[in-house]
Amino acid sequence: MTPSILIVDDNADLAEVLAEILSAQGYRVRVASDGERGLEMMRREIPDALVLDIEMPHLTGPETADLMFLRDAGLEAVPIVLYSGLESLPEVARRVGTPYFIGKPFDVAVLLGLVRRALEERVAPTPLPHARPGGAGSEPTRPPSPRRRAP
Amino acid sequence: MRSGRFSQVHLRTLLLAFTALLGVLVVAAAASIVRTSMVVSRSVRAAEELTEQITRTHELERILREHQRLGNLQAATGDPRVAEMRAQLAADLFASSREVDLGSDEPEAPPEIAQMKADIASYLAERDALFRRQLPLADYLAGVRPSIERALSSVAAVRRHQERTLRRARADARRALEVQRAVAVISAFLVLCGLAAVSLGASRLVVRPLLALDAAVHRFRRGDTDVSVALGRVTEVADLAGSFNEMVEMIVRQRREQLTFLAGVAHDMRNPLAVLKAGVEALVLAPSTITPERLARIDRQVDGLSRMVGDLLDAARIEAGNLALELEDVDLRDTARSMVDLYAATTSAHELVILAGVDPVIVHGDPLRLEQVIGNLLSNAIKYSPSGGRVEVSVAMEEGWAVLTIADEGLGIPPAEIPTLFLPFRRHALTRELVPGVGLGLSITRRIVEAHGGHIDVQSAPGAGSVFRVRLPLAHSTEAAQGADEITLQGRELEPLT
Repeated sequence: MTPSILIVDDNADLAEVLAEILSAQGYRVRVASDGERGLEMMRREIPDALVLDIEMPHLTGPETADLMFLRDAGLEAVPIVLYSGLESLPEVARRVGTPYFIGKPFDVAVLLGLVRRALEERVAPTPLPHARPGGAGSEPTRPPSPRRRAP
Repeated sequence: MRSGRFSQVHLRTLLLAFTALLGVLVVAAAASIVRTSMVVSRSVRAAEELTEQITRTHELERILREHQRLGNLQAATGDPRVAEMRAQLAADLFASSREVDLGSDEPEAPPEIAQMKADIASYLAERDALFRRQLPLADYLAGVRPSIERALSSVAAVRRHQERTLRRARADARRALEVQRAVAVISAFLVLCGLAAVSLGASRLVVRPLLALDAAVHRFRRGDTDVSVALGRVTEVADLAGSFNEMVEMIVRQRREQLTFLAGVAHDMRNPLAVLKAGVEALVLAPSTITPERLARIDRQVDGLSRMVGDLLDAARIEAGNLALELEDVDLRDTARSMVDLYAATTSAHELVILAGVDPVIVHGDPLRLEQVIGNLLSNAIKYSPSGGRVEVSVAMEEGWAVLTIADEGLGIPPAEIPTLFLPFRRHALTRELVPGVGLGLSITRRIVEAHGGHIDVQSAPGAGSVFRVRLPLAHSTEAAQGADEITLQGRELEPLT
């Protein structure tokens, strides 16, 4: 079965380009324009990997990742490929707990390699306790979870 | 660190206090030395006078004995020359006894002197009386002896009294000298203490803060930005230190804002660049997939980048004060209509509506810049209504103002972000991990509106859409722009909206 990938990005142009490129590689690709819709689409069908932008209005990438971890059974095991133009991308990735991230603008080949690695290794994100939606500065409400691997 | 304003003193007051302290000390020292000198010199003078008096008393005693001797000689010989010499000596005796005194310090002549004078007088009278009685010599001599002995002993009493007084005067002079020496030493010590206090005070209150400031200036020049200096207690020095602290703060803040600005610009350019790079690479990987849509997508990114560069130039011009407005009467309804038409063509998901009255809404402004304002607000309204919806543009008049509102049904703005919405990027973009790409558009929009004498505000809540409202003075009531066909935007600090 071909792996399925969900792209969540508010920048429709970038999402479309990525979708075209990933489709050309033989993946089944879906696109969501923000975190909320991305979560909805993931609930309908859990993708094999999530390609996630960080800065989006409404629900940012890290917030989306948090909700996946907190709310929806099964979604916490989806490996996340983060990309962003932020200087602090490595730090955000560390907080989201994913080893897969890439800064904008990126080489398509590198992104494809990253997606392939994510599909092979399937390292599930392990968010840091304080990385919660709107949670900067508040007390952690759940203990840090051990790093888990999907079967 | 920061001592209260009330405990501060002016430099002039401080100097005055220092001078007064030293002055009082010096004057007090001089006065006490002069005073003790007077006491010393008076005591010395009294002693000198008394010494002289004692000499006179000795002289009186000598004359008295001489008189006695001559009196006896006269009685023995009956020589008229001796009688003459004795009479002369008696006159000397009177004169000399009158001169004998105890010195000017004594308030009144003591009884000893009066007694002495009386005894001398009675001796002379006694001798004359005895002489006249023509007694035999032995009887005469025996008769005179008691009175001369009385006179001599009372002269001795006067001398003893004078000697006692002299000893007292000398003791007084010695004591006064000791006191004077002590006063001189104590005065010198006090003046030295005063000098030490003044130099210590000047060092603590003025010199040390200035040295600290100097050190801070040097540290700041070497690149250390954590150089806040204590204000200190002297107003002028504190003002200087305060100005330095403010200057450092301002420079540090400006540097941070510049870095934020650069980081923001770089960040915003990465989005279109990412699309361009990926889009071009996709076409390179599969040249057969070149379609008009894909080329249009690339074109859009290039347009976006061009707009950003334009905004960047505008921002630079505003900062440099070089953005000139070419003012003319503009019907804001026309400008709004043409911009709505332009933007309606770029989206199919949004319904762009214009509401305007029948009366023209004339403002005195730069038509291109006003288009830029409306365009920025429209593109934001579209951008932040990702699921489509209605965008309503209205132009109205309200008490001398032209009011343009652009209302969307989009995502809205969190209350915390509203105050910094019109600032170029975010102040804390480097410390916050997420920087929504606000860009330069709104800060330029606000600058342009304010250069037209108007202002801009926003009402918004998350999920409830946003209403941006621009108020510009109507042409006939324009005060800000009246009489000027060209005004220049000044690069001044934008304050957060309240």
